[in-house]
Amino acid sequence: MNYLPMIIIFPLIMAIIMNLLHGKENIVKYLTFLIAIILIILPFIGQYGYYYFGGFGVIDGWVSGIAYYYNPLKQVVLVVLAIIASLVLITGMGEKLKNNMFVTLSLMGFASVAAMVLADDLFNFYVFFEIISIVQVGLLFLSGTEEAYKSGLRYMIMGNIAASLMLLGIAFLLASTGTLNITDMKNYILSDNPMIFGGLLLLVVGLAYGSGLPPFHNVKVDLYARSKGFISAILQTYSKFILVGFMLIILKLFNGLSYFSGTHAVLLALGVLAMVFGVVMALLQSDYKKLLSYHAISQAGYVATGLALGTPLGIVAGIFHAINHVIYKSALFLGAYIVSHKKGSDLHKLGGLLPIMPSVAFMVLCAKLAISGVPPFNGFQSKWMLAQAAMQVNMPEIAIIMIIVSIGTFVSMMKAFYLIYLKPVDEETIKEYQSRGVPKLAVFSLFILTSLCIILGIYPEIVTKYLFSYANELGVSYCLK
Amino acid sequence: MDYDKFQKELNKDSHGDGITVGAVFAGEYTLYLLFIFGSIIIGRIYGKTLMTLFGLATLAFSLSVSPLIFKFKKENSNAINYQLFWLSIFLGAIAFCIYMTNFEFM
Repeated sequence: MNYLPMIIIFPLIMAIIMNLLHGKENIVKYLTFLIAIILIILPFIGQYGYYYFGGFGVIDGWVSGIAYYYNPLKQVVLVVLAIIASLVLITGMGEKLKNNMFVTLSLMGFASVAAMVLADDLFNFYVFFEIISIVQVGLLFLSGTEEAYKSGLRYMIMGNIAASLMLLGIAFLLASTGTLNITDMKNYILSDNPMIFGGLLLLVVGLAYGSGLPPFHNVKVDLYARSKGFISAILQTYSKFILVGFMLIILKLFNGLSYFSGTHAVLLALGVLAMVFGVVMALLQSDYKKLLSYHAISQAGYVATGLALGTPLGIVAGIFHAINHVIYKSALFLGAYIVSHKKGSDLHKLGGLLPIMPSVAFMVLCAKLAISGVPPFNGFQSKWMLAQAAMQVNMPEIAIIMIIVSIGTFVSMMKAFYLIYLKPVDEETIKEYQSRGVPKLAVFSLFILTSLCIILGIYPEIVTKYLFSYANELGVSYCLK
Repeated sequence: MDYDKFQKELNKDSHGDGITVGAVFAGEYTLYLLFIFGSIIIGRIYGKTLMTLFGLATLAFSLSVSPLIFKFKKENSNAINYQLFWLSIFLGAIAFCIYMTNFEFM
């Protein structure tokens, strides 16, 4: 029997149960730990191939009902999503307030992103796209500050516009092809017409909103920066895998079609602009969480560029970078969460934390080197692959921009490291640091994530070997003249 | 575009220390490099020298109004009116690219 839908159903059911346990903190904690373990097992219980809800399957040559498609690439993505979600849930166990609401929303988010990665049906994809938008705002609201509410409102206003346009795009595609199933739809969009162009255009708007590409990068940054550190870690993970899921659908539907070239260029431009805008804005920040949030946008740009190249190597590099990015960026956000327990996140008020917590500083430094693309960390491997993919299609300019952005990343990361850990501070501040504790569960999660950064940096094939077969199926080889 | 000008601007937010000014300088140059390499790749993709010249003219214009980075920061504001303005520009730009352009990409 195929238990694939349990990846979505289990967290949704647990989210409802958790919601009913309001006020029973001890039960919530034990249950959260149990769920965190089960989440990691879930991606291994499904079978590869198509899964049709309700068992309708293919009727008279048409796919009927909701369909999911599972393969090794999607399995790797879900395993990484489950690891991050589990670590964030475990870290959240250390928080006292609103714990079950956090678990409820995190599980709904996990289920939604998993469904978006698995979906072979555009409308099902859209439904979970909406759910994840609301979940993200819900998680932001948990920080309970006025700024968080304002940011959430802005995110929802922009989301109203983007999601409505995306739904209209799906309607255009349905009107042109008569189906919502992605595998079916592919057979009916071989030749262009204005409706299909319109649908494609509006899907790109949804993609930019869901993954925080320009012009939606500022609302997304606000979302990450105003949340608690460990919540930002899961929020940026959701966004990255929404980007991967969305791009896989766009590539599956359109990659290789002659009329796709215009959109192809738009997607590349969005990726490059996100890379540059993210890093330039990060260089300007004096708030640590805002700095990290802008870097999340910049790294999403790398992922989008790799996937938008549309070649097998580009797709593998893009997805591998998404996986690496969620690992080291979650580590960095957890590091920021630990630092915020000492003295907030204003870089100019921090300093001298190295002797107070040397092991945390070392792990954060590893994550900072990983995001800057320094060997032997995982970021180096995926950025190297991305540069190779750009060179393979004869676009050295994109490879050069990637390297420039990496330099900017290194500069801002080292600036932050100096200001937080190395800058000399007075005795009074040291005493203030010593009087405040460190969240131990966050340090545990940080250790696991840093270890993954090193392991994937030395043995990247642990992940990449699972990515090539589907990337070869979706990718198209070409070379710019 | 000199160091003192940057420091003066950053001092308004009490962030005029050396490491921050250096980081902002790096951001300024990253923007210029984007214009240079962006205009080259646009010219190559569209196969038209005019597009590259247009890109380089943008670079020249941005140099004439330097420092660019503080204007860039203002445009990246969280204010909803700025957000909606850039959203409308975005919709227009991608509509233009998808509908109006026809080039050999693959």
